[in-house]
Amino acid sequence: MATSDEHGRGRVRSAAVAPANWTERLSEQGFAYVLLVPTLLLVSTMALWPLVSTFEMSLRADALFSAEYVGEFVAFENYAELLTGQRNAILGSPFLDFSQPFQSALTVTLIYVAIAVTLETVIGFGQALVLDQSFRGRRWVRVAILIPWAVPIAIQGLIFWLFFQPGIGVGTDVMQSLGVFSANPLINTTDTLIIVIVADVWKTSAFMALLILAGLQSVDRSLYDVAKVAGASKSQQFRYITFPLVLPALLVALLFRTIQSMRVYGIIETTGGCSTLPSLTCMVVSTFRSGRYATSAAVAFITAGIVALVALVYIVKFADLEVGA
Amino acid sequence: MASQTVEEGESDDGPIAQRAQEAIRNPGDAYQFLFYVVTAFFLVTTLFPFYWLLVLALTPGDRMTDIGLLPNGFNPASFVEMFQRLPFHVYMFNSIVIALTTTVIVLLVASFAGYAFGRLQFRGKTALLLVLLAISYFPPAAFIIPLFQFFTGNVEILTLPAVGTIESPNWFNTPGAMVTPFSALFLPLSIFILTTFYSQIPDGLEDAARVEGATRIGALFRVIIPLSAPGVATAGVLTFIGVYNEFFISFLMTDGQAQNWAPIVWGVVNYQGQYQAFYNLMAAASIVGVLPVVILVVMAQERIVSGLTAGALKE
Amino acid sequence: MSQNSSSGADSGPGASSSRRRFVKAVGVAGAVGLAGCQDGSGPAAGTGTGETGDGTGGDGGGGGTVEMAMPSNVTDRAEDTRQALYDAGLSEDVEVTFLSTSEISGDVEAQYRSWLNAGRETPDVFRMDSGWTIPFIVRDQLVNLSEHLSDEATSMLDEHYFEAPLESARAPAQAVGGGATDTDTASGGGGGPRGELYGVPWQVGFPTIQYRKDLVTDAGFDPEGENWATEPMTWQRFSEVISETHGNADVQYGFNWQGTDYVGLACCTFNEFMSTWGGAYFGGRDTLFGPVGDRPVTVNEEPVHQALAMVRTLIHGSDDEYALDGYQQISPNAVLEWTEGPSLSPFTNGNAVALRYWPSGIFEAATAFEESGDLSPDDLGTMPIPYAVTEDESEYEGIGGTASALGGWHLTVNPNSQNVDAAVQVIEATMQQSFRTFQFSELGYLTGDQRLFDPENVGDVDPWGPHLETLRVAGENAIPRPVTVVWPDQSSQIASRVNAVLAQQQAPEEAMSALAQSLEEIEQSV
Repeated sequence: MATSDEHGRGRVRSAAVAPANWTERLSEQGFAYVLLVPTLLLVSTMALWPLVSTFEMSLRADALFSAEYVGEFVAFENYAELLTGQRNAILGSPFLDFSQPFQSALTVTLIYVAIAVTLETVIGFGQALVLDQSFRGRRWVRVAILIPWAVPIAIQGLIFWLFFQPGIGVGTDVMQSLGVFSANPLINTTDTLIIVIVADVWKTSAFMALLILAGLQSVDRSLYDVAKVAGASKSQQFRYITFPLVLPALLVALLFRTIQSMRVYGIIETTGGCSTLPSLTCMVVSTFRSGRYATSAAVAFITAGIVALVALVYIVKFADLEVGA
Repeated sequence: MASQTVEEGESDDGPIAQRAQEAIRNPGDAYQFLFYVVTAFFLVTTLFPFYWLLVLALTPGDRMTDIGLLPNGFNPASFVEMFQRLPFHVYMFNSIVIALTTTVIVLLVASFAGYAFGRLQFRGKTALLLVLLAISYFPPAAFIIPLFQFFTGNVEILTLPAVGTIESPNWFNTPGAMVTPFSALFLPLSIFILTTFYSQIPDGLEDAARVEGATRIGALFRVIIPLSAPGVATAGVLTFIGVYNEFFISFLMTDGQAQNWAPIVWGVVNYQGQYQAFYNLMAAASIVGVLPVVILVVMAQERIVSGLTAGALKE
Repeated sequence: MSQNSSSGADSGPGASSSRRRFVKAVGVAGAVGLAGCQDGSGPAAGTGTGETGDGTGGDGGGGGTVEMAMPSNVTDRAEDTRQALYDAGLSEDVEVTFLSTSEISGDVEAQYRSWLNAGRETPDVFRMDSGWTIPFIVRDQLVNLSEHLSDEATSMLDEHYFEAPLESARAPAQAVGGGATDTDTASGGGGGPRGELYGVPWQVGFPTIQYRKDLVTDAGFDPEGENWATEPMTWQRFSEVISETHGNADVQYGFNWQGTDYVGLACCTFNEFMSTWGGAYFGGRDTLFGPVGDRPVTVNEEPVHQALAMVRTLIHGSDDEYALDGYQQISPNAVLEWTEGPSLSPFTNGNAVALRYWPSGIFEAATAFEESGDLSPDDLGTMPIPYAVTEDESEYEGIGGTASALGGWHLTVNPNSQNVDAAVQVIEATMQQSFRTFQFSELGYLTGDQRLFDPENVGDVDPWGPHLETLRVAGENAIPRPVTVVWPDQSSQIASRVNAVLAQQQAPEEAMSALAQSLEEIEQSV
């Protein structure tokens, strides 16, 4: 027999779980939508609405003489002029100039992404494999390997800028005597590209390692025992157990890392500067700083379009692998 | 935890030929050696720039030339001076609060979304995922003007007949102006991570929990999340670090003074004068600033370990 | 970090503790009199509200709160600054508060831009870099001070202030060239009638050449006797002097300056090299600030080519393909990657013969020499920037002879402020002699009042004393950067091309021809 006390508690408890109970009665689709309400709310107000607003700005003209952000409506004139190279003087570096491909933001960005993401993934995977083992002091090795990701971009850039700044750091002397760099690496496009790649790989291998490690640690250990009993070698274990099970996490890491790399800006700005090493987001920020908000918005959308194309490669190839259930 | 045991490493003495023969006889030992070499390599390469940062911090301000492997002089006072020059602890506090709040919100919202995307079928799933992904295609500069207008009370949301115009709130210089946009902008990554991990939990486990009377949401919190502890912890760590170090949006949403919720990168930037910067103070501040993150990572790793050894598997 | 904005001259926040020591040692605080400098404006202390004359009148003594945006070395001394304002005659009804801003010019501009666009009411008084005040004027985002300042204040500005800083705070000529697409501004831009003043100089910066007097003397030269402090020499002689001194001395660097690809190269360092060769970006001084789109682009002219060739010779010596005869190799390769900070350290460490730097460098060097064991502030000499072409020989009016890139900050008033009158009162208080004295001796800022550059007026303010004459010459020959709404775009193009030429990556004529084309496109883009 329930006492009045238990009745009271029961009423409170049932009130607390009432929403959960109510959701039980929904269909799968309905439940899904309910779960997604907070996401949709946040994202539509804080991310989608601003993007729509920015897109609207990109359909207007720049207004350098006005206190307003943008001027009159000009439809797609900004996009047209940007893509046909008529605004190269304003952009700082050409968007894509076939006569000087390596001074073009698009080429430089793509080269950077290809090299940096490859290196990060390989190194990050190696780091994750190491961290997956159990050994004494693992906890601190883990922290040490993950520290670079905890360093803000401004500091990451500062470290490398100071290291290669003549008079302050020894980097230029060392690299010049090795014959790798020119005398002034920070104003040389190729040298700065190398510096930026090294700085980026240093920092973001940790990101890849974190995600891949999470994937590795979710692998059921008993599978390895079974494999050992069956006589599988280490590389076979890796190929048939580890890799397939880690693949989803690896793909998420790759996808987001590639997208983030396409948007590289901070590390360039704080080392060699955007005029030494142009990138897509460099152009967005420089036009933004000049007060050309409409052009900046248009460049941002063009950039997003290019990033979408690159991301599409991942999505199309691995669509079925990504989302399970 | 891993099924491979760790043997004591053999001594490094002895001629190479002898070693090679041992390696051929005992491949396990060779792996061992390789493992330590690789680990050492990773440690050195990841820690060297950070070490150099420490060297910078310890260099006296007037001896900042040709800094190589060791500081020219030893000046630990920079770790004290940084607090005298700026209330750096306040900046750190601001960042920690904003980052923690955002992480909690993101993990909660992303868990719901991850369950929906990862374990349920519904119309519009792919489209919605693509929209979420597309948000990360844009640099922050594409968001900031509308967001700034919004949070300085300049946007008219609705005009209701009786009430009048509802304007956006003026949250300039408050944490709300940063937590809210960050929660939205850091959602896509966490949603994708959690979706991946939640989808890998076998249905049987969830059904077992439901059989015992748990609701679907209950099953989410009591079975799925604990079993996905590595993924949840990773999403949490990544979100925390991302918000903690964010500068672009925070630059606009506060006026940069510590008492107005300016985050940590603002603090580090403020050690710069118009032309010269106190590089040693900036370095010291960066090192001190990384400490909360280190603590967080250590704690999160503990959670991963305990989550797995808790053994919630019933089969 | 490589893109730190330029301009301005502050004593460097780093020196504040040692600066206080300095000032106390000399016992300057409050002891600096300005003999013979009674002017009509400015109330004697204690007579209450400054006479604001027509136009403003007292707002009934209601006062109000005025928030000033100031960097940390002012806000750290908020109480003293406030007291100095009251001592200068500011009514006690006006309450002054401070908003601490970053010191990085570009960040401050971005903040003001967004605050003004959002219509924020505070801060009431902005501190705006003279290198980007004009676009705010043109966009009608500042209060027209010509309409609010008292007659005495206005006449003080006209009579006693350096011309160049004032020019950078006035509404420019015909703000809009042809082809305005924004109907709001098609009739000639905002900012009211041309020539009206929108900002009062708070602080000024005129770069000079600092050098090691002891090393130069050891090499056999006679800086005192030849009056180097006030008589500019030619670049050719300068390169000889430095070259010989460097050869004779055991220091690492010769002539340091800031030549990396950043805003400072376009606005200031190269602007000086070019102007001292009689060259200009956009013609003479009357087309400096506009009209955009309707003025000549003059970068592809002989003086600019010569200047580039000379600088290349200074860096790379006579082996350079475009080397000029008679100029020695005196600058290290590192100047091509240096901003202000890294170029200053070798000089303050005693490891360079000469340095081109903002006035704060004088302070830093003197302090460093004082604190070092083997040097003293007497070993620091200053001279105006050398020249190659005199003003008469130059094609453009007002350009040629020595030149010093204009830096510094203005005080402007927020048009959305609730207390415009009180804000103007605060600004007028800062113009008073007693406040300027406080600013100079306590806060370490050079101000725009020419009288404060006369050692007779100011007394012996360490360490500025011996260098004030040089700074005055520099100020009289200050050349502002061509600030317009399109200057940010143009400046990055200029810096990029000039740095490429100096780094031997491009030929001078080819690069300047391409640059002229880019600049013209940008001019026509509005």
